[in-house]
Amino acid sequence: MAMDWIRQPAYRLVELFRSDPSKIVDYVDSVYDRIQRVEPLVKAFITIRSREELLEEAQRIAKNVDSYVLPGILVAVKDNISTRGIRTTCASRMLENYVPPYDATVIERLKRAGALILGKTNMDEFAMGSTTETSAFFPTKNPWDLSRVPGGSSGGSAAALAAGEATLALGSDTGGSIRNPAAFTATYGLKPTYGLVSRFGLIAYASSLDQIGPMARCVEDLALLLQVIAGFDPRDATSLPVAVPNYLEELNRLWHEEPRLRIAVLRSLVEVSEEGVRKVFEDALNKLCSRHECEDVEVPYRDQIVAAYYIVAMAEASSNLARYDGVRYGLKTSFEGRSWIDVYTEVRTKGFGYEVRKRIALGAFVLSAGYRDAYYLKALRFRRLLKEYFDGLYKRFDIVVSPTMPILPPRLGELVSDPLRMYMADINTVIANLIGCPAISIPIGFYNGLPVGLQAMSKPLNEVTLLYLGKELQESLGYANLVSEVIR
Amino acid sequence: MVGVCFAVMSRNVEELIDYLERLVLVKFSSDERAKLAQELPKILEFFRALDQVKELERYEPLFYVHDVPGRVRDDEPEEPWMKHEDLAMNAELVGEGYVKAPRTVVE
Repeated sequence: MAMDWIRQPAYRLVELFRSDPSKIVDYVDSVYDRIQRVEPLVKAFITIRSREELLEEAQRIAKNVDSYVLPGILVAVKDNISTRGIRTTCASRMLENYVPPYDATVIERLKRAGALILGKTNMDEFAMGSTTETSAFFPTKNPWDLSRVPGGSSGGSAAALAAGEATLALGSDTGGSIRNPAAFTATYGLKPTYGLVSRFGLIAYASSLDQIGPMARCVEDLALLLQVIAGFDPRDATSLPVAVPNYLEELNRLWHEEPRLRIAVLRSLVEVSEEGVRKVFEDALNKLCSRHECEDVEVPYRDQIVAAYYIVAMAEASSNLARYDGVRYGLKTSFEGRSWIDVYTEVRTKGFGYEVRKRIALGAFVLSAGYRDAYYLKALRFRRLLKEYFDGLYKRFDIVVSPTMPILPPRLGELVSDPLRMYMADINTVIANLIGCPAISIPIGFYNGLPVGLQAMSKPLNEVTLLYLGKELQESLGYANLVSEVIR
Repeated sequence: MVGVCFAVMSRNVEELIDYLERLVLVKFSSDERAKLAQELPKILEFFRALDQVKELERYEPLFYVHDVPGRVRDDEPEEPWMKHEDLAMNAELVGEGYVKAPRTVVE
């Protein structure tokens, strides 16, 4: 019987390739065939490397499989992570032809591990969105229902996994951009502790909130990919100088020890969720609470959490995106006889889409004289209040859970046309970014054929406990290595 | 505080959009301006939710989430990790090692 390469998790593929390195080529060929079949429907990628290039790399790696952690494993990379020699657009006209002269630290680490960079995935422009519809190029479709969005902003990475177009993926998460699409596509996504994974080479949106993280179709693969990308990097001033545990070993240790966890349930976030989300979440929660100690807790100031998040994110975006002037890189125009204001304004107007221009304008506004105290500093004061509240929760509980998203995957065009509704849909996920803690999204079921995810948060650098919880739900519910048939 | 926010909301939204365009050097088309004129007051009103939090002044602004000090490298020159020409590879207007920029003063 022929091997089903598409659904194999990375950790099993690695074992297979170690015993028979020639299989790497069969695997790459098989995934590439799959891409050719489903990509015209899903549109997960902005750039895909050629089969010949990938096969050449695969053959080189096959000669020395034992020196690599991820020999020949195909990884889809979000298009805001710099890849030397591979176009990196941030899904923006501004960077449509930008080819980075260097690799992000996470890409260096993936290459050192023997992984193959398959291509660059679609996203909301500059990661500003929750549906992948603000991409300047095209929207990505949800492989489970092509009339719906895959979430965002790392929607291309999540869709590539769910459609069987990649084995692992990298995303970035500023307010839920890994967890939201993971929940909408029945995949696993982890936003690591702020500073655990280097941001060097990540095209910045909001620097105090951004984190690169792993995406996969099972918990073990999430642990494996986190292992490769985590760790101190002197080129990122916010990188944490901490020792990184062996996540797979630690996960297996906890799995055998079976510790009883203290779990806080953010009840009001459950109550405001759509009925289908609530039902699937309660079923999964019942399973968890039969083994662990659960208690309902409240979330203070729900609207304020989202307001504070968007003020901070937009303020930082306005500063980070001030660098796009059409001079050193990005969209170009003629300078002849024109002032710098004319040139910069033309480039920025043509290069940025509406949502990006709106967010940087609002960000500059909340930082401007007379309004900084009223908006920006107030948001940062609230950020401390929120962090102190959750620091208190983490003294009493190991894990804090809620639905990842309060809604089911919307139809294309449904959410993006109502910005406040789109911003409010981020309420469950932005907390972890504001306070810097790790958070995971775990697939827990389907409602009317649409995926639902559970989010678990924990204290900083406690990724292992999140992975353990993910493994427990994965084993009890059976949602591992799911690939959609992608039906037109 | 409420007074400041009220001033924003009562300002002519068209003037506010003009101001924002100048602030970040972008333009909005007439269709986009109409859309923005609808969205801006709602978003700024939404941001005012923070006014409802009591005694917020008791909390110091949180810029950085970890209790570890900021880290800077020693103030010593390091070997360049990338060549100058690689750094400038995305700038089209390179001459004699320089990137050409638009004039800051035009007659």
